[in-house]
Amino acid sequence: MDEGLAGYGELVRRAWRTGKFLVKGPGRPTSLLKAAGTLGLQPRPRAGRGAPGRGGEKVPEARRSVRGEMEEIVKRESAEALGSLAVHQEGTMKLAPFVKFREEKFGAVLFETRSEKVFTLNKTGAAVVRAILAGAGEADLVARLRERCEDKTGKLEAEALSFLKQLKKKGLVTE
Amino acid sequence: MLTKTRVEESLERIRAGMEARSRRIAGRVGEQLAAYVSRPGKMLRSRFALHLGAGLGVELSKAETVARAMEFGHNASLLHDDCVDEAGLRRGLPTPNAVYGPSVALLLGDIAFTQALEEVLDLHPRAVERMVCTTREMAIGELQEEFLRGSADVSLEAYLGIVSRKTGALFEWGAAVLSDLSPLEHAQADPPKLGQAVGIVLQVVDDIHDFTLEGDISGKERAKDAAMGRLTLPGVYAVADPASRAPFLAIWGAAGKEPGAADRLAELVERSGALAKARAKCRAIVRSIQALARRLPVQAEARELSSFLDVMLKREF
Repeated sequence: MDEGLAGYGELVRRAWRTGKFLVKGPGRPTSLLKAAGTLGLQPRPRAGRGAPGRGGEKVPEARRSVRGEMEEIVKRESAEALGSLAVHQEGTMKLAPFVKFREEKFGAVLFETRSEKVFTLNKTGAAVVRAILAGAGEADLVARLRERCEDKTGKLEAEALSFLKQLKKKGLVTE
Repeated sequence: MLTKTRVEESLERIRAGMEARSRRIAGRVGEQLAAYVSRPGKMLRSRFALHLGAGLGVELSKAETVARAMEFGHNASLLHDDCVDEAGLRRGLPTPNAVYGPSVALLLGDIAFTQALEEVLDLHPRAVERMVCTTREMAIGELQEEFLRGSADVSLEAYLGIVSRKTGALFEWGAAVLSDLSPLEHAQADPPKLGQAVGIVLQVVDDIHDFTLEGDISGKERAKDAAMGRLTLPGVYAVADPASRAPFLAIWGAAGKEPGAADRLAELVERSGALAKARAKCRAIVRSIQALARRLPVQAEARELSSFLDVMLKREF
């Protein structure tokens, strides 16, 4: 622990013991938080109002790196609302009632909320479910997948249709 | 049948129940602070819970308990949101963060969450577990939104995903618990999905109101979302349209800083057709909800739920 942190720890313990949460500084009494600043712990600067990054404002580095990651996460999780908003039409498929879908880094999960069964999917499986949520029918499922995924092995059609069969068999997807 | 009078009677009981909890807290934190925890607003969540509960054949007193928990959960999230937004007004009254500071408001929000949990401790074995997951999803949605502040790179799907978590999750919770409590077969109505969609549509309506309503009607500052750098649905549509993208972003960047920017932004989203697209999206979502509602076991009550949604869509308050 560096000197500042050790001093801060002592300050907290003393305040806790004595009940005095004001610290005598060189001048007038100051708050514990302000005193921590003098011991090497600077309080986090207060974020300005308005949107960080707009109008050429400087976005702090830490915030910028999290924002980049967050944009990726939000993009990945964007199919989540589709399951509840899709208007079902003739010839299309949908997730069965009480089944939720969330894309993850490794692919996706399907969660049956009543039985609490969780099914993990790889990226191809995730792409199949996403296409279903976007309104694909069995007839155009493969064509839709080809728009989004490369078929390097030439097995996309067979794998996708086999996976769809499993989804239906387990009652996770319905017509 | 859950008539208008019976709904109002139920709402009165829900309010009374919240006040009773408030009185218990008041003994520990004082009446003024306790009032923030239990003060209800328009009670849209309660109305939703009452109508859906009736459509599922759930005992009225149990639906009222679900409603109370939703109101407490909602209050908790508002108390925290107002700290995040540094909001001075809520429901036309000064926020506790403005009056007492954010640390007090955050702690009041924590108390409100515990009240939501206490409400449902004995309601159903899975109610608390579901509420824990819901609280997590709401907080994650808020965090995602917080870190996308100022970003114009928000797609329609991404926006709806965030809204499904930060607002939809609590409605989904209420609907899932009512589904657990229902004595009737109703799987095809899929209440959790129905609830999540209702939450999304109410949030989108709020987003539209952020541009269209004056502060004295909505009870909060106009174009608050834009001032905070949040791209909500009308903005998502405006940015996606090449004709309105540049002028929108220019005014959006000034919102909250330049006087008159909020009015100019509201005018632009109206003129560009972005508001019309957002309203059309709302109508489409309501149609999908009504399709699910038609599968509820008590059809007369399901029609009341549909009417409630129509009113929510048209409301200007």
